[in-house]
Amino acid sequence: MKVKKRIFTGAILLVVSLTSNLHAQPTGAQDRVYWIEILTQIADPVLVNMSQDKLRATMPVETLAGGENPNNARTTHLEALGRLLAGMAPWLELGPDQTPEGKLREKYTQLMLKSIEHGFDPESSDYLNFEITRQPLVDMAFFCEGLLRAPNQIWGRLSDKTKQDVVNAMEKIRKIKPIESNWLLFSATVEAASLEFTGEWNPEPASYALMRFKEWYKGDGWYGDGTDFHMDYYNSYVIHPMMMDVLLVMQRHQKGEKELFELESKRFTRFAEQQERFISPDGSYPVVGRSIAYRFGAFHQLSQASLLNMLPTSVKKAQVRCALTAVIKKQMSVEGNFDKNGWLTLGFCGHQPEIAERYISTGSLYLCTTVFLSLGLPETDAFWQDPYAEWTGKRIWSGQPDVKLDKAIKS
Amino acid sequence: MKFVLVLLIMLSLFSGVTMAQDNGENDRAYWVNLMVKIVDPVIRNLSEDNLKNGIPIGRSASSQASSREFITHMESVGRTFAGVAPWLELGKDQTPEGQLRGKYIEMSCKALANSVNPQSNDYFNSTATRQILVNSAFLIQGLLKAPTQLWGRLDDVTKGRLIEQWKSTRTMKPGNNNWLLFSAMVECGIKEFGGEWNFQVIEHALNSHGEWYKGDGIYGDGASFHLDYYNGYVIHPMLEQILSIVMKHKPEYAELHQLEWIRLQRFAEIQERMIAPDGSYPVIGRSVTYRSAAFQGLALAAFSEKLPETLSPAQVRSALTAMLKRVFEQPGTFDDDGWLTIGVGGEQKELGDSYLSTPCVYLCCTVFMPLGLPDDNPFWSLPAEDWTSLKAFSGKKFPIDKFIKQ
Repeated sequence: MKVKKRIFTGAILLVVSLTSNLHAQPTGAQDRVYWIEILTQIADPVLVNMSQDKLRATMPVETLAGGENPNNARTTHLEALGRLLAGMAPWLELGPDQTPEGKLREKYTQLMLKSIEHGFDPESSDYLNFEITRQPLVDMAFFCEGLLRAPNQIWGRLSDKTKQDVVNAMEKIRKIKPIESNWLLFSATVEAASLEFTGEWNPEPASYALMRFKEWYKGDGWYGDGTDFHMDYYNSYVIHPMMMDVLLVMQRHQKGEKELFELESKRFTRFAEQQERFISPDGSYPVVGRSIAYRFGAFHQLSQASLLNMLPTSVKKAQVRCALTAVIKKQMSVEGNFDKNGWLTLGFCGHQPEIAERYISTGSLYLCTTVFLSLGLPETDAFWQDPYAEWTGKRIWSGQPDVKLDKAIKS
Repeated sequence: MKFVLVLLIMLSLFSGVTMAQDNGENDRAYWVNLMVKIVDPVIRNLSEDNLKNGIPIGRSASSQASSREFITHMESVGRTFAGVAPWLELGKDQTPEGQLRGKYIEMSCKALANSVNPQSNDYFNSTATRQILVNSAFLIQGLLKAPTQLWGRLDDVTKGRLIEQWKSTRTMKPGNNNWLLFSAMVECGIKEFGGEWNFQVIEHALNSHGEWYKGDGIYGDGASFHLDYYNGYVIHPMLEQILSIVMKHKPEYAELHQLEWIRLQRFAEIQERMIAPDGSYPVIGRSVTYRSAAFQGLALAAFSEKLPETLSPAQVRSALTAMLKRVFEQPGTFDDDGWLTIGVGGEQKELGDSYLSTPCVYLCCTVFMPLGLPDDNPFWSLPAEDWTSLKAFSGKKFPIDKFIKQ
């Protein structure tokens, strides 16, 4: 009887604590503060150092193979800058204002502008490599994608000299031939940025990439990476986001492919629907395919779909916020994601260097920041305003009776 | 009453915490108990000629078809046997589990006899729905895995009637998608148990799936890829089994069978990685209310003792056990009479597709295939082991994932 009573009391306490947890779910404003905290924590070592022209001097180059001066040391710095800008740009594009967050944005905008100045100035110590190996094409593309996502606050505020330096770098990048895979979109993205910012472009890489991806479409929102399907996150890391960004530029400049843009919009929305369903009640998701060291960068596309207001009607903005917050917290809750100086380490959830492919080094890891694209929605947006909402995985697995069926698309 | 409820909540929480530590013996007992709990109402009622009266045939809100309500009880049967057959094939012995098997073998033979007896109330008396093709394919899938204990113990009249029923499905045109495999599986059954086949049907199914292969262990369901579990529910398991029959008679297909195993092993790898640390998995695509059947590909690889080198049997057992607990311990999964309901996290009627009736959800049984491995097999005897996502999300070392090019 005594035992029973004790169990009973314990159970009551448990239930109470569970229900009080439910009421204590963070607000959108609190989630936003958390996102910004993590984003700036990740960005700090890169931007603080590069803005002082000492990225090369300070950034470690961790690779699976190890060694003092691995091959990736030639390319990893552009990776860090390009990928960070791709993820951070929408937030910076909101511009400065008098709020604490607005001031913080201005601080990071200044750091970013300074970093870009150094990275593209041939006279500076941090001048980046745009020529050796094919890798710089990848990261110049992420950099260009970032510029397209912050045309006013980043591109618009670069000095004329730095703008010219960037254009010169693009010229070098054009000599690198892409691999027949998602890489085709890297060349296309560089051309799209050229069109947007200089009014001139070479349309051929874009039209070739789009032609191939039309052929490589597999169904239900998924493209092959090359001719074959791969069960990995490349549709989110690269394919959907870059195709959408390229097509948006082309629509704006009336360069055709309207039909594909409409088709891709449907596929894009369907893919976002699937991404949201991939997130389990505990914020984990299938650890599948290559490049998982990009951590929550796996949800680049879902965050972009929120930013572009292209979520399916079945998915509310608040549930995406809460799902992505759960993902970020899940992966950040484990020790070892950062080294003692705050640089990202090779790993997925903590320090797990064994899961890094040979092409992964410290700079590559900054692709994880693409999960933060939704920070480009102002704090007044429903994404941040609406109260806590359970995401689909959480609703289904907690036994909600009214969950809805998932449907494939035919186009 | 409230006390019981609270206790249940607590127990379910605790079981969630302890699940990775259970040893193989406990896991096996859990699997056997759960499987028996699921299949008992189907086999028992059919053996007593009471299935049609007993089984709920409710449908979801999205349901359109009600034309087959007079026969839909049948749809639970093939699916149940597809899952329970490997276990039954271990036969009766003196252990408590062996005694239980003996009981269900006997009941199953009666049940199958009733299903084709024109005098019985449960008789599958129709060619009016193509579902008889689907049911036959799943039933054959099971019978081929229990040639001694099930097929071998049926009386000659029942055997003859079954073969006749399978032949009657030859007039049914399958959908140009995974359904081709149903027709091909029926031909395999007619060949194995009746001595002849229409090989063209099989050839067509194999060729089409060859064309529909997308890469990295995944087939399209028809010409297009779909992000759902059909590669697990139907495609890989049926394709592998069909090829294993075909190559016995046509050795030139051995190469294709080998290729299918390379793809199936990759698929098993992907499946293992879909199971979250808490045993849940992405509820995505159509037919999700087949619940654990989603993992039939992984279960088949384990049962065949052909897991890829990257996966240990113990981690697969632990992952599948966590998944089974997460799914079947949801309140509302069983109705008051012990029948399964439509849903994933308990009863969730709207997760039922338009083509689905309650008996269809018994496809979940197919995940129990590894119970066909005896209890001294490493799958059951090794101590528990963390599965990939559990390792990955707790910051432990875990292996890199690689796609295949075949």
